[in-house]
Amino acid sequence: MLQPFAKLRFVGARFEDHGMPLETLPELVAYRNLIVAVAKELYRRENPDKRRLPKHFEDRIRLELRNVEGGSAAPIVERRVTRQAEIAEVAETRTPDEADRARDLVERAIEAVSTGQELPAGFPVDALAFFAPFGHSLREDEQIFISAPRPNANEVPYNKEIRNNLLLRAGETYSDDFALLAEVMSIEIQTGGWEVRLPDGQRLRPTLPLGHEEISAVAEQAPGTVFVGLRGQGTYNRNRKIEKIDALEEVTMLEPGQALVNFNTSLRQINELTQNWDGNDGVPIPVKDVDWVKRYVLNLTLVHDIPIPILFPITPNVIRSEWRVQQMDVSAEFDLSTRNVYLHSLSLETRREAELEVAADEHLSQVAAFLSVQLPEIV
Amino acid sequence: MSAAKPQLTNHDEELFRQVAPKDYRVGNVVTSVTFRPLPKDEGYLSVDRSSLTTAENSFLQFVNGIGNSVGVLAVTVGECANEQLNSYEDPLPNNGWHALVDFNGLTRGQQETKAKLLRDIAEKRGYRHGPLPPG
Repeated sequence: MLQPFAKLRFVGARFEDHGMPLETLPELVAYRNLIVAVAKELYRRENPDKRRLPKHFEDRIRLELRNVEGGSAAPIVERRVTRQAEIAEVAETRTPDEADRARDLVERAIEAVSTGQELPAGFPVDALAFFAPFGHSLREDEQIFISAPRPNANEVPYNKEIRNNLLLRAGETYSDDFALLAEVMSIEIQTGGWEVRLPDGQRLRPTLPLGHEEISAVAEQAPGTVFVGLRGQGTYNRNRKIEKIDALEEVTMLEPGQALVNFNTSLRQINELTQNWDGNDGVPIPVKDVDWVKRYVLNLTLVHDIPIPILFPITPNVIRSEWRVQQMDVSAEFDLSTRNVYLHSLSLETRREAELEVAADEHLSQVAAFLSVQLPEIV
Repeated sequence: MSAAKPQLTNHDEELFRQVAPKDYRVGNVVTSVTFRPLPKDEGYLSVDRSSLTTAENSFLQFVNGIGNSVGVLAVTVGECANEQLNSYEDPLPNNGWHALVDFNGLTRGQQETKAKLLRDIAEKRGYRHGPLPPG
């Protein structure tokens, strides 16, 4: 006979029509495997004299999906109780077993980690790894609300961030999908080894999958002009920063375009400035400062979809970028001493002005938002 | 600049501005910095007067003397005045047709706005000399 075990309510744009997209069904399998893993550990801990799990232990935890409730997609997980003794108990109140306690412990672990508390006492740390596939397919705006079939049961929210935090309780890193934009720094045609740089300056050395001769050819002919979109799985650290690429599934070369070529030419020219380049005894601009501006602008371009600007030095302390899109004339001056950026926008049509000065690195999102608002979309 | 310098009053007179190679871009485009004084300029934009020289002479005198240029753009005294920018005579020993456009007293944002507007006007007028490929 079947007994309610848990309700997993999926919330997010994909679930708004009350259905479960098929690609999210593995979440239910992952939930079941997590419950089984925790239940096994509980049994072992509670039965130290037994060297093995009872035969057919997993058969005692048969979880089934028979109904998906509306509202948002909310699959009702039921447990098939097969043992005669338990069936007899169900009519009354069945004594909670390892599976029931595993479910409650999982719920409490999620709740604890989401509020920054320690894992509940008795939670088997070895089972934390089973959180990796659970929540793996969730998108940023999606959550699962988990509730046990108790009167007035609270719904415990679970999302990608909580999943990652749970995994970090087991070790220094966790694995997750990634979608990144990167600049190809170097490429070794014969070995397929290459180095890419992310907009924040971090360098990674993934293995280039076969069938990307075009990227190799362009990178060899015009170094510094190849940008790629990468998708796959990677290892992340506590700072949510990718440490290495574990599996590279997709590589897409971005159209280099004249703007990018001009941008790279400008960078090269700035790096080649000599003494008195400004006619005012100006010294060359240090490469590290040019590189900072380059990475900043590329971050705006690749991550925040801002068009590539023209770039040029004004003084040894200031590099400026300008965008002219339709009637909008927008500029950003990077102060290399203070690392501030001064943004100014003017509509040549209406004379409407806007300006903003902020610490560049700390306010990247604000800078991107200013530029997004001021620059008309290029169709 | 001393306050005694006479203000330019012929609103039709063109004021020539040299375009530095670093400010010249593909497609004859120039950056708006061309029409904004830098910190070393103490709030004044250096120009040459069309009533006293030609754009070509202005260019040759500049590149043979103190700097690099790819060409000459121009705005008029009247166009500057429309943006509340006064222009003054400022003859130099080696450049008798030199003049200044006064950006003093403006905020950074106001300077940016006026520079962008002047650049837009000058670009629409077209090069008075050049542009030559930056060398």
